[in-house]
Amino acid sequence: MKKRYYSISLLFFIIVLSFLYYKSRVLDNIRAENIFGSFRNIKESDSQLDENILKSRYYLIKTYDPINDTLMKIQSEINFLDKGEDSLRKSGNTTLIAYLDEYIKVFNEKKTLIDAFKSQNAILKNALNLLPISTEKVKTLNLYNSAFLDESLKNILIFNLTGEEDLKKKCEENIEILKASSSQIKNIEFDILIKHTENILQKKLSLDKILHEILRIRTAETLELMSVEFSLYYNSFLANANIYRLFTYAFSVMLIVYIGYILIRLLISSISINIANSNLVSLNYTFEKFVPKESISLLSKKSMSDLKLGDNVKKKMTVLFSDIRSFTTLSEKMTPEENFGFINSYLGVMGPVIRRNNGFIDKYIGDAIMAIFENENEALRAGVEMLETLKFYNEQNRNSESRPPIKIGIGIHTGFMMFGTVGEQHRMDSTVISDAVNLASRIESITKFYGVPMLISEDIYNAITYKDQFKIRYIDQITVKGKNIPIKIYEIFNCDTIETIELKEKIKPMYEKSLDLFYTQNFSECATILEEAVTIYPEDKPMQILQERNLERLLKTANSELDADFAMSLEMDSK
Amino acid sequence: MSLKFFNTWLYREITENQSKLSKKINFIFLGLGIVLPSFILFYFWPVYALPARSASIQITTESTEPIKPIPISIELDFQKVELGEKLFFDKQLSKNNTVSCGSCHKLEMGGTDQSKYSVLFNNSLSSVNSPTIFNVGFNFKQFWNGRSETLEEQASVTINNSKSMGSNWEEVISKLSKDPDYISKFKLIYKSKIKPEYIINAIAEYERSLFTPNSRFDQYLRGDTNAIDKDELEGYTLFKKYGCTSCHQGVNIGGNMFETFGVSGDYFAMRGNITEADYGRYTFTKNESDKFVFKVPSLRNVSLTAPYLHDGSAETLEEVVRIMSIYQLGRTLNSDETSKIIKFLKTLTGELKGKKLE
Repeated sequence: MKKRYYSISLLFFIIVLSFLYYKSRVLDNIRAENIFGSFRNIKESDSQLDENILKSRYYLIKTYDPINDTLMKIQSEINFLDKGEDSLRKSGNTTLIAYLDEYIKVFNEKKTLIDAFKSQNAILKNALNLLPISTEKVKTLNLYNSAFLDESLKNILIFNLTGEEDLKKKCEENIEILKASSSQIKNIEFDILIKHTENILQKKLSLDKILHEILRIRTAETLELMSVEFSLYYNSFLANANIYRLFTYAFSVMLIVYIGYILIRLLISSISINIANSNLVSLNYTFEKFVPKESISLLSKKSMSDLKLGDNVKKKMTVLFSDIRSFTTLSEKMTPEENFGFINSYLGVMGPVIRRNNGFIDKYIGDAIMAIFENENEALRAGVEMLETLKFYNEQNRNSESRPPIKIGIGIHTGFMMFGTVGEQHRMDSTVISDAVNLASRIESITKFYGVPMLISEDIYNAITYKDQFKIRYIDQITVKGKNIPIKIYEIFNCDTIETIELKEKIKPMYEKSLDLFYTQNFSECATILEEAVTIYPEDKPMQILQERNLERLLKTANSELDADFAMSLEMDSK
Repeated sequence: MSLKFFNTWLYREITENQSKLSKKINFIFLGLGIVLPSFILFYFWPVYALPARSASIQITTESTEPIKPIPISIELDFQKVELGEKLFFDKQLSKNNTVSCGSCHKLEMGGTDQSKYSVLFNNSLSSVNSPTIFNVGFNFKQFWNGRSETLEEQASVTINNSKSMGSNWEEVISKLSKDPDYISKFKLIYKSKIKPEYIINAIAEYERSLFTPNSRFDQYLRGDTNAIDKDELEGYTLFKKYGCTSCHQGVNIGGNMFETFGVSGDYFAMRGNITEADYGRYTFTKNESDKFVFKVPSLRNVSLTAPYLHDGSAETLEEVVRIMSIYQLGRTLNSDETSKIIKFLKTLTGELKGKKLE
């Protein structure tokens, strides 16, 4: 989303920049300089033209080439302005075009006048050249009054220089006189003389008129106006173009700053992502403590994120329950901090034992631990090790008056279990649904009743392969509430004191026999064996319980008949 | 070092308060984005001053002689000249492929066809005598009546003229486009396909290359006093004295002005049978004062370009000198003067591309 905004704004920048760049080079200096140069050349050539015309008029230069050259120069400059690539006509400025048209018109007028000037001037020059020669010839032929001829020649030559009105009249009179005599004389030389005099008189005046017109024609002024107009036009463009150029620079800097901004935003977001990632890793690590890794692998999932509501698996597994005896009374004496400190130090030593034996802690229920194993032997070993660890723990931490040693009870059972996830969309947990779990929990609570640290079910007893590693004795047959089939429970006493183990080993055959007798309703025989056993190990609680039950039965059934309603197990209806 | 410092600072800022940092950075960059461009705008806001320029000053020294020598070399684009030469002699420029520019302006005949009137594409005759093609680049206008300002215009007019060559640009271009040589040459020189303006430009460039410098008289003007003999020099003096140089002056000894034919007498009345062409510049300008006004022709190589005058009526130099002296100067020259002037006129024959013209 954000990235799209960046690219859109960059595109916008590029469009604006290219527009500004285009506008900034609408009229560049070189083109304008060419046009200004053209104006300068025209101005220069125009003044040269006037100068050359005057020079030709007074015969200071003898050819018309300079005039033609300057005319050609001006013409080529006009062509440049009119039709060239960067011409004024293409500028679209109507005022400028009007001035250009005006100039072309004026220039063409001037050109026509100059053509006329050249023709007239040539004739006048010729006449001035030849009139003295003709006069001399006429004089040598003695055709006419030579004094008058000289007078006439003088007058016409002075008139050519001054152009005075009086002289003009005089010359006209002279010509009239000469013409009057020409019909009488009939000489070609005399006619030529008259013709030349006439030519000078006429051409002098007409040439002066043409010259006056040439010099009066408004080429320079029109050019000046056009030049000023173009200056204004150019300056307005220059101002605009320079400002566009400036905006181009400003926008470029803005773009650079913007790119810098984007880069730093990207840097920040990458750092944020790094931080978030490391947070996530640690979070994940913490979550793995809450939700056991093994539960994920049990559900054959790669990571926690793959877990979905309703994932499940059914498997034969072993459940171990452990609980601290009379924890409630213990905890009442402690502050919450002490409570949690105690529980956590206790759980802290128990956790590794379970993990060591390839089990995992499914959940903690206060001080109680529910652990799951895939192997029965390992579960059993874990139980034994837990008791051993507890011994060590008690020696280390619970050895004072205020902190008496604690006792725990462990119950183990095996069976088919459904392992899966429960909960709803926002809160989920992994859990085990099975009758076996309940039974294990029950067995654990029965340890209190029998005053033994560890009890296992018959299923475990049958499943374990290394029976010789464990010290096991048969305790009783029990029926838990809600179950009809009685189950056998066994005690593991590996972790008792050496004396106790010896005593338990000693009374084990007697106790088993007496149990057998009790369930076959030979109560009196059972009583005798029990009495013998009690003398050996009077503190054994299962035996006391059996003796009590046996005594009860003995009192009930004096007639020694078999009781059909006799329960083949001990009913456990309460804790 | 500072970058590392910056990085650690940034890291700290991000971990501690990201939204605040984000605001900070937005603020800083928005500020930079506004302040820096504004600084550029305000600081560099233009104050104009156009550079002053000194005008170039041309100093020309002027010789007192009314005739100037032809420059030994002039600037030309030789690729264009080469192309122009091919076009100049290409008969495809006429309607029925019968005449080219070179048909009337034969280089071996002094740049003209040495006949009174030229034969045009449809076997009709031209209304005026063909002037020489040599040194046309120095003429101020083209045609006898000066109706074309430039050589380009002249070429264009002649090709499109219904009498002269009778063609038009579409035909010409379609004909020329069949020649791959033309296409490649136009592409090479003008970077374009064949176009009318390029055709006439090439032809004009070729025509400009047909200048004839280094005549004996030019050598004399350049300071070689032995280049012409005594009679010829006297001829030149007479030429000046009788005012021929009033019109026949400059580089081209003519060709730079108009003059009425018959200043001192009515030539056309003498000759009779006035045609439209005889009105000269009037046919073009329709200006009463331009009646019988013609471009003063160049006298360069004049001994090679007979017959003379716009109507080709003068077959020899003697005749044309006589006509000129009567109708322009109002005078008859004696045979000695005439022969001397003719001797002078014969010194005006120059060299074309280093070869003496004959």
